[in-house]
Amino acid sequence: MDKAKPRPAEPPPATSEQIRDAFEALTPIEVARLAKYARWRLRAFGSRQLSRDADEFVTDALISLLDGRRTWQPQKIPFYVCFKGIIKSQTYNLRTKGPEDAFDKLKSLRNKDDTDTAEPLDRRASRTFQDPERELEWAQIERLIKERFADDDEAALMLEARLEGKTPTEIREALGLTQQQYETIVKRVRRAIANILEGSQP
Amino acid sequence: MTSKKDAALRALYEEIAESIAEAPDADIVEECKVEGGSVEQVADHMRDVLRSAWKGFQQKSLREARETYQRTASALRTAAIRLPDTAAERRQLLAGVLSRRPEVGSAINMHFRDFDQMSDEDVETCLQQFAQLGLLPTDDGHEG
Repeated sequence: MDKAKPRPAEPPPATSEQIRDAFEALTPIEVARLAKYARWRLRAFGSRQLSRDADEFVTDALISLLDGRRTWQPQKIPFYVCFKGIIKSQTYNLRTKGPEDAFDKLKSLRNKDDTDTAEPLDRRASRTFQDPERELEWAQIERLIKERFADDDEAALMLEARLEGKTPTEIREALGLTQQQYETIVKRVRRAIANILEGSQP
Repeated sequence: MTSKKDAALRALYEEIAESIAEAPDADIVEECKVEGGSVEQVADHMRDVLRSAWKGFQQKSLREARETYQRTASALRTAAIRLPDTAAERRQLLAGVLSRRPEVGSAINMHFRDFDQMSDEDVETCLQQFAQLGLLPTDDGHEG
């Protein structure tokens, strides 16, 4: 019987100086991309984001790396990839483990009369969201579909399907789009939503 | 929030976040411009946030280390070391520690050459250091 090969030693995690040198070495495009990524990830977080702005969110991510709750092994992955991953998992943690807020306490009361499927979208939105900011965003995106994308069927259909809970794969298949065509639509949608949500950046 | 609407909105924003991560550089440049800034401005701000977080963490770590050191030093200084009243009892206590901890005895022998030749003052100094290292038995008989 073969002896089990000894596991190679884990490369050491980065020191705080290495972490500093790594974020200083990122290109402006990479840093800007991370900033935007963090902003959208935080926006996805919804009502709980109210206790964090984008700067605090990024600060939390870096601190988790410095205090050892997260680790970066420079020999394994680039800092950019690691930090993006931390931002992503941070939103996941906030969503799944975050403290309940005042809106959550009202949720059970609202659910009792949630006649979700029988009402027009606008009225449904106002009943099912606990966060007024989210309600507004929902209404703005619906208006976007009707007005801005009135002449852009693909973007309108994609956005409608997304709001209905369809996945990107389902939408691609339903609309007969290639991955590249779909990504082009996402880009149009991203710019349009960024435009309407301007001024309410997280 | 668990409503279907919230989940749909969240999924949409998460998809947009991932699309940003994959977008060509030119798109990032263009979108920064559309938002009324530049890549450099967005990057400078983000880098300042990271620098500030890094510096804050270093200062906090240093402050905590300094506080820990001061607490420990203070505890050592103020620790009440109760040694036996007579020189003979103190010498007996030292002999007891050395017999329980031969490795300490070796170190003492290296330093003083001959245990029997240690002055009463040396014995007392040794015991005080042992007390700070927790090598002296406590009232309940354990090393403390």
